[in-house]
Amino acid sequence: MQIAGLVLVTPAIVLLSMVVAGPFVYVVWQSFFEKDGKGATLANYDWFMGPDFWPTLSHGLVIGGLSTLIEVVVAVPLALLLNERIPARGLLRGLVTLPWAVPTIAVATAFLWLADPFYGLFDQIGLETGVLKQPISVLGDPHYAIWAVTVATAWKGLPLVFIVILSSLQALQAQYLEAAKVDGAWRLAQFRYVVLPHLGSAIALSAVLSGIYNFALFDIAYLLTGGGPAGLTTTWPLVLYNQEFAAFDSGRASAVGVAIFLAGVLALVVVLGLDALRRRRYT
Amino acid sequence: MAAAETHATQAARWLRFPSVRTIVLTAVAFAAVFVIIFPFLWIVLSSFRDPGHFLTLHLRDAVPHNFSIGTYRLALGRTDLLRWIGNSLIVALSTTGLALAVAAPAAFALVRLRFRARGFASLYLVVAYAVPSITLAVPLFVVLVKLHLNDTFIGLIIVHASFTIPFSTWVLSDFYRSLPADLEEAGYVDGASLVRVLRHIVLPLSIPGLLAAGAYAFILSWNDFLFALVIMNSNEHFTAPVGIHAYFTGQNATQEVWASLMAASTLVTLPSVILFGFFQRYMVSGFLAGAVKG
Repeated sequence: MQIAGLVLVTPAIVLLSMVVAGPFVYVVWQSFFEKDGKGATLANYDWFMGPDFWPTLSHGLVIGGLSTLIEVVVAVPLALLLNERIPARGLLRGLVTLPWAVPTIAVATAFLWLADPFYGLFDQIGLETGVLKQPISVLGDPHYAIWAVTVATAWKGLPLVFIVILSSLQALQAQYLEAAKVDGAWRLAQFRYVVLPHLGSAIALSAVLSGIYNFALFDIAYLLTGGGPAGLTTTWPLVLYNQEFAAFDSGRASAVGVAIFLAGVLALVVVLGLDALRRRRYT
Repeated sequence: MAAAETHATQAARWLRFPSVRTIVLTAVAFAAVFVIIFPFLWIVLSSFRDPGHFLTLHLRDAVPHNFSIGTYRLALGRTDLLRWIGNSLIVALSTTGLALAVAAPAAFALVRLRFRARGFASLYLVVAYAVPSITLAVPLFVVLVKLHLNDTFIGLIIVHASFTIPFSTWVLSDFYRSLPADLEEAGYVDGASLVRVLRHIVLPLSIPGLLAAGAYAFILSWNDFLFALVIMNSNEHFTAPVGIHAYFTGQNATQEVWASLMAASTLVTLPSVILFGFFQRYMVSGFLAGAVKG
């Protein structure tokens, strides 16, 4: 048993060590060495004191945070709705989760096409209905580009949040709602005092994971705007990519990579800690 | 849906006239779902426009008046799309095979066998799942260049397979947990070795679990953009997402380019969406494990 178990698990451990753990150690190591320098140094991290640090961080927080907020605000009512006994419920649930399976390249195509200033549907509807006076390039506009990236990110991320919240909802035992009903609680009160507290942990967990994922997401911003216009949608993953594949500075790219990882760990610790406190208060 | 609900009660529910509340909820649900899938519907619909009049300034021409597959002809004729799709297939199928070959034994061991490193192995999966892909893009690129595995299928396959292992293992673990151990035990009682039990009893029973985990691995590999972009740099090795990206960014967005982009995007989306449609129900356990354990 001892040996058999080890033998069966070993290939998975070896592959993960080669592709995830090993490279992760390497990226941390590499972040302490300058492009042409000799000894270990913290110089690659001086980027975090530089002028680009705050703007790029805030773009990431806006895209990651707001896209997650959109996901939760859409997913909770949608999960409640698709938990009701309505016709074609299974089909509708399947369709809500469909964006998860759409390749990012097609997500980018869809949003580039919808947002095209002349031939895109958004502009055409806007012009036809008089909302827009003249065509605007949503993805090229300094004010709107980051919102477009945020919406596309939320679209791709919605299914996972929806699945987690729907499952949590299905796990809520009917007897609690029955008890609330017997006690004379209205639908709104049932939602406020029974359903929402039950969903709390699922919402917190799926939101923080989605937020971390979206903050570290490279491909949607890269494909939609490339970080533009004028760097206004440049997030840390794009900084990393540009350092490695445009500036050919692996040390600096690695430092950004480590920072992205640490930001995720920090967010997870804070949210899980707060959720634990909240739960202690309830019980 | 309650497990006790029988077909008869279901039928009875359908025969009853729906309440106003049900009708309103259904209408809202259909409208909401339509809005959600609209971006995807829109590229599919646009791909059936006449490529000769693809770009239109008028809203009334936005929905194709008559069905045309000209954009598909254009996409397949003007680009190397077929080759890229072929490359994607090679990579995604190999990824699926490798991921299953590694994840299935691991999942079985984690569920059925007691061994000392079990806790460590489970934790290792969670930690590996938690490292962001973009953080690993640089070191993986550097290492693959050193090993001369950049711009090769093998390099990309190993990377894709590794990233799918935690999720595939969780889906398969959940599956093995639901499988009664009696059959295996009967095998041991009859004197079969672990290898024989795995080969003749566990493997044939695993097929549903393997299909679900395999569908996930295939979709992840097929859809991947980041690693294909970083690792592949010659046209003959591009996977479909990277090939389409290279084609679109390489020139001005003319009518032909937009038209073929719609067709290419639709084609590259179909396999993932179809597979997901069939297997998503069995993948939910993996999504939840990712959320709970991650």
